[in-house]
Amino acid sequence: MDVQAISPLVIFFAAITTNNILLTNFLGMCSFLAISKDMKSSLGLGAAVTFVALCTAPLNWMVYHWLLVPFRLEYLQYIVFILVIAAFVQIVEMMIERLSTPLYLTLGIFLPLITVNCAILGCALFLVIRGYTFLQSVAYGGGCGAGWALAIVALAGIRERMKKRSKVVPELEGPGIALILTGFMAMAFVGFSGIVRIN
Amino acid sequence: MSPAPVTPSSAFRRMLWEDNPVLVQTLGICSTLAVTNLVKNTLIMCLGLIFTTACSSLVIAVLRDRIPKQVRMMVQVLIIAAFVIVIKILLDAFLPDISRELGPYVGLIITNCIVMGRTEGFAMGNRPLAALADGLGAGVGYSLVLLAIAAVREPLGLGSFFGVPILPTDWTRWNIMVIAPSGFFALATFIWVARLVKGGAPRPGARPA
Amino acid sequence: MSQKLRVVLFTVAVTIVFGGLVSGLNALLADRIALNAQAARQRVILHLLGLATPEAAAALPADQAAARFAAEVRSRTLGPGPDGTTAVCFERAATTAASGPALLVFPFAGQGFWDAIRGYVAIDAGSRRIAGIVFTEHAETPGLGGRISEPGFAARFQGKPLDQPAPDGRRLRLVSEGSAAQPTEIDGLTGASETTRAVERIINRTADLIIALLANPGGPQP
Repeated sequence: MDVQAISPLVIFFAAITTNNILLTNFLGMCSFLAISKDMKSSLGLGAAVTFVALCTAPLNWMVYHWLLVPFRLEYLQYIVFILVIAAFVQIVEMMIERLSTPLYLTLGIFLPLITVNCAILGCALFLVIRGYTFLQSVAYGGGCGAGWALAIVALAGIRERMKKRSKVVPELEGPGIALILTGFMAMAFVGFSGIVRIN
Repeated sequence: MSPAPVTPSSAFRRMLWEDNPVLVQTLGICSTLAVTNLVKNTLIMCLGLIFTTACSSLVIAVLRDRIPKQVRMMVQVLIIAAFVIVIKILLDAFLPDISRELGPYVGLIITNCIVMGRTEGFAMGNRPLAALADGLGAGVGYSLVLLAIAAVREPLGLGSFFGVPILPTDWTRWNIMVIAPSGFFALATFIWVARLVKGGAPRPGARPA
Repeated sequence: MSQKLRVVLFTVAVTIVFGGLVSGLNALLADRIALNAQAARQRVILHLLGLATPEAAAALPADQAAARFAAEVRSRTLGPGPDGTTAVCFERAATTAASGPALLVFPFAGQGFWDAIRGYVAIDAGSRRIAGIVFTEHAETPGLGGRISEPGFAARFQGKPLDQPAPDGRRLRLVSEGSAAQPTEIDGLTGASETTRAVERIINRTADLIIALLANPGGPQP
């Protein structure tokens, strides 16, 4: 009857499309603008963000509901979420480094960038504010990460093509044109709203 | 880190225009751009950001020789987060409606690249007063740009400024100005104009990631 | 070793100083924050139960809203219904004949155009009609779908019957603005067809559940 009524599937698809954390909430812009110059890095960073968001969303949900709420420490959520994300990223980085060199080179090198990625922290803060259940927060975390990855890969593709074929006013080169392209993408993503109606 | 100590006033002025964090480095827009469709919310967020950059720069510059290298980043995050939590508590207690509207964005000041960029890039190597001025300057320079964006988006999109209707009632609202895409367009336009005014675009490779 | 100890001591010291600062401030203001956190919801429920006019409810300071809520409102769990669902609703603590029909206020939520839409709806338990509705949270496009939070839009739901479903199962139908003619039709919002559709879907789903639970209240009656 309350927010529990929204199916995790709807939350997942909404987080990728109409509710895209980058295109509608502007989160994770710094690394988005810097990294989207290069397709290969975008794929790596996108995958890393998806993985970390998918895992830290339920982690932060558990920490918040099982630790902070019972001890009435909700006001410390910001710092605790940051620490959880930082610790998780650190552990995963160490594990990947030990286990597989190729994986480390494609994914691991992007992990340190993620600790300060607003999209990951934003995801944790949104799921608390919206009162998601555990399952909903798993779906939301996965959706946020996948949506962010989709946006950066799409922009990287556009930018790579533009580099070869188009001329941009010098003042708009770099972040300027990237922002305008992102604006168009944000408009295009509005068109996805029709598909999020699995109720 | 500069060899000669930077004076507070030059540190402040430099951040306003020459090194403006938004226009030059396109940093830190995450936490505020989303609320620039209303001037009031933008103003509150900007005040929060100015407070955080100024205070954390000051504190970190005071502690700069004592902070052990191994835990440098963690200590910085801890101090920044503490100031942001202070803002959140004050908003919750005295401006609950605005706090609810801003939602997660107050907390996201922590990961705002400007704050960390100033503490790490300036406060760690400069005297407290200069660091305070640098933090203030970065915050104010950032705020000016975002308030300018909000001052364009709110009137065109909703016909009002600071919640007060200023355009005639038969004004056709530009609905696109209220939704997310226009935030990207508005910011890109500001960067464009700023670079035109400055003359000569910096080389794309020269920006820090 | 002493180097390591220094690192640890420093970190602990910084944590204590700043943790203390934050905790102290929180301890000072915790009561006020707790009141504020509940006040918005309490004001809406007081207004929907007809215990205060919308203006009077909105103007209530947080502590008075809490006091009046505690004294005049009680919550009640309906259900389990046919499929095992339950729902918490709110009603007046003192129901006398003079205070009007028995109203139940239910929270509702669903996916809107951009993000979730949430709110409260008051149902007249006797006549099965909507007595009032408030959309409290949404991220619909300001000026278009965002108009759902305007009182004028909420007023269009006033008195709409929930017990006359159309053959397709829809109890209420949101139609294009200005064309509502039937008792079960409600004017939608021009320029916000997706928001309108979402509201129709959410309200019908909520109504289905409420009607089912009212038919079979179950559980111990207070």
